[in-house]
Amino acid sequence: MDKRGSTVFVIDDDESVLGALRRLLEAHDMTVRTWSSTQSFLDEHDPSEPGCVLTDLAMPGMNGFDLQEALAHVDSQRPVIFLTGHGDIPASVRAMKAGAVGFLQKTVRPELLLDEIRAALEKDAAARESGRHLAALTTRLRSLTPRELDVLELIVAGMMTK
Amino acid sequence: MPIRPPFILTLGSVLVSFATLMCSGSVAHALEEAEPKRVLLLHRSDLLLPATIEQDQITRKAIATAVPHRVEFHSEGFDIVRLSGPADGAELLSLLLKKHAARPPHLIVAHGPMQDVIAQNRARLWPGTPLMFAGIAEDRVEDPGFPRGIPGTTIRLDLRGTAELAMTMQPRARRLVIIAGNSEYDLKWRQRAVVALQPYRHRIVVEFVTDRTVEELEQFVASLSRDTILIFTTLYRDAANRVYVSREVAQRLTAVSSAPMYTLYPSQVGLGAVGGSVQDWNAQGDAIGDIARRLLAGERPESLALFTPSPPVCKLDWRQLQRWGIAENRAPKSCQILFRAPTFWSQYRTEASFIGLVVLILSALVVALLMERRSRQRAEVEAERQRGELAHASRLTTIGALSASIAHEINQPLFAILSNVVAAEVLLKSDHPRLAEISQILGDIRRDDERASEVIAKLRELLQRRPVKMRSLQTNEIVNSILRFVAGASRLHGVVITTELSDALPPIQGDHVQLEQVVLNLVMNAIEAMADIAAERRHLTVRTVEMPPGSVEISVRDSGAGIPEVIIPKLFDAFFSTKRDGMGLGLSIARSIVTAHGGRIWAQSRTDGATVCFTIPVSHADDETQRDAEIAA
Repeated sequence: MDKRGSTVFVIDDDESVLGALRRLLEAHDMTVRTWSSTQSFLDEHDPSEPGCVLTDLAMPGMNGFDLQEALAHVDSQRPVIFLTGHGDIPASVRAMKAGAVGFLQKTVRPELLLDEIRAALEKDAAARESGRHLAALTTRLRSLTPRELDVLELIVAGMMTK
Repeated sequence: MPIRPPFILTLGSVLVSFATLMCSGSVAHALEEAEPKRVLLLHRSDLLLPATIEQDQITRKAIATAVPHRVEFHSEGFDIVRLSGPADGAELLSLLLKKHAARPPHLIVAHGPMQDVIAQNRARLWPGTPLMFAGIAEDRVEDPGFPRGIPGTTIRLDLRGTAELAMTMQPRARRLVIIAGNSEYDLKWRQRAVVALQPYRHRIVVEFVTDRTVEELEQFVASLSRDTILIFTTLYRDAANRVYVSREVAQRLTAVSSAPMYTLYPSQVGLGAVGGSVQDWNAQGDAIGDIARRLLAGERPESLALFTPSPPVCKLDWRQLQRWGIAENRAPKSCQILFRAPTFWSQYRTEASFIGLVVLILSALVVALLMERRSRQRAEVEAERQRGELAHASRLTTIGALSASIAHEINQPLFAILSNVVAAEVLLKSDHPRLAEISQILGDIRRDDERASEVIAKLRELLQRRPVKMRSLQTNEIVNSILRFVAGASRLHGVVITTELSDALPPIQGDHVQLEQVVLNLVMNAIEAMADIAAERRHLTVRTVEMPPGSVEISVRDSGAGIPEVIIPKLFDAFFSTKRDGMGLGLSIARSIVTAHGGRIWAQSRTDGATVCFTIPVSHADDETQRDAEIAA
């Protein structure tokens, strides 16, 4: 799958962390966009743009959980990875249950972080791909006449034209 | 059985006869009492001279004691010779007789050198009345005209004793001068001197000086060397044939003398003479009393004697010893040293002891107060030390609570550093590494490292037990330093921190760790206060402003639910806490720190949040010398 064209959306209120992450990811040929607050990300990002979210958990104003909730609210399928400076098990459980694809601490090895990001991007691409595929199929389905629809159903049921 | 008289009768008769006896005795006594014995005391000189007074009193006391009757005394002074001359003695005597005519005396006592007056006038002077001498000079008795048959006491003039005393007191003296007048009596002293001083002729040169006028004698004695012994005997007539009272001449001479002068007469000790071997007038008393009693009882005067009742004794005038610088300890043990100047102590005993007591009490008070002060100072030092310990303990607790966010705060830059490093490694692997960017990366790494170091350094500083150091500080630096330190905690709790720091604040005087502790405490309290409200509404504002005159105000405002009014007065009390597991020490320690700095701390509350403010005094030029207290903080 072609990951180029996917963006990593990085949210962290710590300027130096944000800058360092940008450098790290760009050094590994990733496209990066950064925000220092959840609110500004929600206001500015394009949901149709492919990519994943890499976010801090504890931030002033809306934190990482609030972000998850906001994305869920708009049925966003975008994968979210948490990268937090402190982390405890309850937080990670909550994050994962709410649909995060990863929960990492800032003591993590950069290589592992990069792997997780790549996996998330792939997942996003795959999701989009299958989404597109599904959308195409749905369009085609919609273009069938009612009789073709019946035949389809029969085909699906019997799977035999004989 | 024999009839005995009733006891009561016997007793009664005994009592009656006894009473009668008593009554008759007392009647007789009363009859006698009706007329007391009158004693006339005659003195040669002015009545009020001290020696005269002394003699007079001794005589009165002696006679009053010895005589069983009531005695009435009368004293007369015959100052004839001095004042006018022998001729007028007769007139004065007539006056005396007239004066006492209504109540003539039963006894006459003539004191001192009265023998010529008596001799001349005995016939006129109540011839039937008994007369006695008191203290007449012994060697006068041999005079040709001396009235015979008169009893009394004599005094011995002890030339030898006096000379010996003088030689003992002045061992280095080589010359002994004896002064006498020109009258017949005076001149007899030459012979007496030869006899008395015979044993000493090898020890000392004896000179007999006579035939001078009193003025010449004055010059003479003034010219003597200090080492000379001067003995004054008598001077009744000088070379100019003027009549004198010996004693007064002696006084004049001692006034101008350049050598110590000794005397033979008890009355002259105290009038300028160093001393002498003289008759003790007191010892005369008993004898005088006895003779008087017997004369008043009717014994004939001729049957009583004229004698010296006691030997002369050594007497010295302390004042004269001081005048001449004669050592007191040379005096024989038996000497009486008279006229000793009362010591300060004996004179002012009461005052001195009172003052001494007051001084003692005051000193004791001063000592007690000083001790009190010292123990108070020590208590204060101890209290400050304990406050410091408490502050330290509180800091540890606060920082303990902060530990998670501190770890977070260190992790952030460390993570940034690692990410930067990895990025740089990748860049370096390319064919044309972008050195400018790598250089930027290195700069960022350094910055992040410093950030982490600062957190650790601040942590160490806050955790340390250290002595209080009062310095001139910048308020905003303190605030910013703590805000950086708690950045992780504020981030953790989703709190937005805003600062409103005045520019150009004057420097404040304080210990920066303790003041940071206060700010830390207030900020942490504020963060916790906002835990229960929605994340996007958590706002913490720190404000610094100058408060004229002379202090800076720092305030921490949160957007929590506020503080209930009932709690505000107790907020800063020790062990008062609104947190479930809080110790309640943070604010009370904050208050004690602020108070120790000379500032105030208080809290205000509204429904949309609480504000805690404190002030710290501005530092002055003379505070620049650092005052390092010796306490551990």
